[in-house]
Amino acid sequence: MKFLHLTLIAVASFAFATIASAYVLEGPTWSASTVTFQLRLGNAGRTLTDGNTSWDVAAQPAVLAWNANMGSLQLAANINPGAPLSSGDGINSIGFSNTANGQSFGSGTLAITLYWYSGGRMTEADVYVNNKMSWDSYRGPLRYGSNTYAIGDIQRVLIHEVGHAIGLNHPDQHGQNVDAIMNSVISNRYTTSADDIRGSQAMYGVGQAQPTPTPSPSPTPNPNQPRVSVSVAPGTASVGNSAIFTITLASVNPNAPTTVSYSMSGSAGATLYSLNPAGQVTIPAGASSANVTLTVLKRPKRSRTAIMNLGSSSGYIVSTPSTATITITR
Amino acid sequence: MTMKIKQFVLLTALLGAAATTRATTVIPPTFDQLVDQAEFIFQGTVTDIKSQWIGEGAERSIVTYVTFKVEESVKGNAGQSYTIRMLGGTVGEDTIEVSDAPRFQAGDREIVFVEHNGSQFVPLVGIMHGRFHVRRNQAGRDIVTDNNDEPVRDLTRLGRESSGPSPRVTDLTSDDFKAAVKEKVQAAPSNRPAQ
Repeated sequence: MKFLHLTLIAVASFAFATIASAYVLEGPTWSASTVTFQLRLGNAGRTLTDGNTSWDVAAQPAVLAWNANMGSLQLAANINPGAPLSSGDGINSIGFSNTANGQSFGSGTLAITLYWYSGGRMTEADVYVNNKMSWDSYRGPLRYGSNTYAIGDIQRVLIHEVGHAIGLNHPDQHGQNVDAIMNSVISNRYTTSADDIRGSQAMYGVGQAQPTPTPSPSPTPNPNQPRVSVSVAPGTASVGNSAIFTITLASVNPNAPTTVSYSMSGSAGATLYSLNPAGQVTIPAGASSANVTLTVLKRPKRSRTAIMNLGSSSGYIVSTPSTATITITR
Repeated sequence: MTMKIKQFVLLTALLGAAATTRATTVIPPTFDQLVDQAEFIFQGTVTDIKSQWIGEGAERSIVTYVTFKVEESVKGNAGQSYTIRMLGGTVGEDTIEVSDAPRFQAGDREIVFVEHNGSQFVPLVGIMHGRFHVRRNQAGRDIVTDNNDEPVRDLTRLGRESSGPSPRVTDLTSDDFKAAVKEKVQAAPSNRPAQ
């Protein structure tokens, strides 16, 4: 059995080594230009090793890690505690669970990815993270617990699982020997490798790698700026029916209206529904909320999602939940 | 297209102790765990593979039934034929794949370690680690390879990081492998006859 010895090798030199591109593709790919994952991992209830207190915040970089070098596909990660974690609903979700879509994980499973495809095109991917295992979030070499098992790093495990979700397979289980986070065995690698990137580019083309931005100090929130959030009801709708997205101000501004912009994502195409008003909504002075009505125009072949994402502005602070999801059913 | 590569690594310094490792998504079980946790262990040949929709609502999914002609039961009595149910498969144009799930083909000769059949998403101990291929080598002997199709040489290294090259240089035959399983089964307290 092939195991990496990274944690045990103090010094290793390569007498003769040939590292070739060895990525392995699953076959199906996404045709959409943006695929959004709903993160519903929740709060950690403690401060994780990397300083995060939310599993979702710790997991977001894992989804976005693939974006910098891919051309035709970009991934988005919305923190959405209300998102369902179920297979076949058209919603791409990542969450803790005590079952794998209703079936037991088995004693040693950390996480699995279920992905759906039809005609070579991915239609949904869900990551089920086993909540019976021990988790943390940390960078660098693997850390081990007192039981000698490595402590599950949520971020590197999810980079791997999202790699499955975009169409990558395990190179080491197909006779390849290469440094990759897509290898089936955990290692000190906690970021994508050159081979992982080449695999993603083989499917989605070469993107323009974004230079690492220089960190800038976070602006001090203006306490006078209103905080906005969004919700939706009902959570499902079918053809001819409507759902109401409600954009809410945490504190009423009696003197001026607040205009909030939004964008839509999800697996539902734009022709499947209409929005009123479209693109932005104004909360009148003295009011605490305003509505956007989504009306389902067509019956989808299978359930699809429409996700409202609040846009940022200097006129308000986007609070949580910043996204709301409706499932458009048959 | 990728090409198979070989990497020759010279280890100039190693720590001596072995530690338990874990996979990105599945902890590889040790040999003892494989044998202890399995309800059935048998060698068989895949004779049939069928997929179908099951369940309702949020748990509606495709499952695949893999049927083996049992050639030798090593632990438990699997009968002459045994079928496992795995999450995922293809029905019509729809496919559900499960990362890390082993894939079987009709005619495959396997030794499988079965647990929780019907309730676990892949009813094998350690998921892909609970499946071993039986291959005929150039000398005409049946040897055992793991899910990566790497020959198994040292059972004590299953599920553990090794601290160097295996002292054993020959591939384990399927007979040797099954004999080791039987020895472990007979040594387990739960399998000893009551006094």
